[in-house]
Amino acid sequence: MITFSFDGKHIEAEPGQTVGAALIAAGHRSWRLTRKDGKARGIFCGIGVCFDCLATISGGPNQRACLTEVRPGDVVETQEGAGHGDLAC
Amino acid sequence: MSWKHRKGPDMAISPADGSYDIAVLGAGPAGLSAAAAAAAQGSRVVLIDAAPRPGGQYWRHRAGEDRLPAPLRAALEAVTFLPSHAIWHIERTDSGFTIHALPDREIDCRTVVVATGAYDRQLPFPGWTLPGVFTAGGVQALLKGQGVVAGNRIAVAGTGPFLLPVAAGLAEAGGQVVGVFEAGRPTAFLRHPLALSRNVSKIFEGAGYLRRLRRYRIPFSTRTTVVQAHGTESVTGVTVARLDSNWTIVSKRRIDCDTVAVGYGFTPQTEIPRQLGCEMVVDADGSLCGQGR
Ligand SMILES: Cc1cc2nc3c(=O)[nH]c(=O)nc-3n(C[C@H](O)[C@H](O)[C@H](O)COP(=O)(O)OP(=O)(O)OC[C@H]3O[C@@H](n4cnc5c(N)ncnc54)[C@H](O)[C@@H]3O)c2cc1C
Ligand code: FES
Repeated sequence: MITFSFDGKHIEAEPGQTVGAALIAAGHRSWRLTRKDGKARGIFCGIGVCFDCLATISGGPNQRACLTEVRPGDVVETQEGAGHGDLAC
Repeated sequence: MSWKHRKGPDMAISPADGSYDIAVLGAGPAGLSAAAAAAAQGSRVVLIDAAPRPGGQYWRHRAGEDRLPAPLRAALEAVTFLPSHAIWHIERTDSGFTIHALPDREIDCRTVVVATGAYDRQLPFPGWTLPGVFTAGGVQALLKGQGVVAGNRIAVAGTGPFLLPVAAGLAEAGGQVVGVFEAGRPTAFLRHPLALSRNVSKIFEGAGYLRRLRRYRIPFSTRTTVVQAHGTESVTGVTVARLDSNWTIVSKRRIDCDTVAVGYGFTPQTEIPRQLGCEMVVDADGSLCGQGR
């Protein structure tokens, strides 16, 4: 098992697992809030085509959680809007 | 670019002059077969896929497993395989094409074979953006590629034979499938003798899946589908509607569940052919497909 954090919580993943799969296995379903209405989003297509599952991973916003494999010590954060803080557009 | 640091495994060995005869885009069953055939003819082949492992959707497998047939696994040795490389742009050049892939790579080739597969066709309904609503293929990918069951109480809905293995797989992995809701009436084609005779093996395969559903007491309804997902933060239930032969709603009922796996068949990924200006046509099932060069 490898470990990473999600919004400050400690999560375990199997080697080679994606961030999205590990979060779902741990009971989490959303890790993005939409730009306009702040609605929750998580995995939809699961194969990298819909971009619903974007998260901020170790400082980089807009990463597809369904494709990105967990690395030990990754810091995953719920992405608000476009993931650029106050500059969100 | 913020994600340059996430480099994938780098197994590329470029040919001496830096270009390939053939670049095959996508390492699913189609791309692997094309790459194997081209390499067997002596071409210099590069095979590129965004995923970390070859196999596409059909042979999707977990890290550490191997599901490829031995001849295709062997054929990989004869080509340059670039996993974890997402193609985002292709340009035509005087001598062929330049492929731009992330992370950061440009590949020159004379010929391109596009084998980027398909994705689940969706018919949007109220609530389809709620966390807990997944494509049927996405649920299957989580199970086959990641060993993760997408939810606890799962409604499987849409059209087509693919819904059956998805539901059976979920049940076998411990999910509770509250029902398979097939909007069409799949037995309609059984009245056509030609279709029947050409699809005998498929009919047996379908019957096998239906037996597996029965073993787990999963209800299978035809002319029925999910028309609404309920919940605020995540799915708490669905409205399932009975349809007439024109897909008009006849009656509705509500079912408690936390997950929906929905798909109305598949439609090809046409981004790359369209980027290259290929002629497009609408297929018999309404899908947009590439045609011509
Ligand atoms: C989510 C999903 C799950 C499915 N699961 C099953 C299943 O379990 N069983 C089954 O029988 N059928 C399944 N299917 C149906 C599937 O389309 C076919 O079975 C079969 O895999 C198609 O083969 P292919 O080689 O044409 O494409 P695919 O197998 O889809 O392979 C295409 C490959 O291209 C790659 N690719 C696409 N775009 C890019 C890009 N821009 N850059 C780099 N690489 C790219 C993909 O990563 C993929 O590996 C599934 C389809 C989907 C969409
Ligand atoms: S879930 Fe669609 S891109 Fe990740």
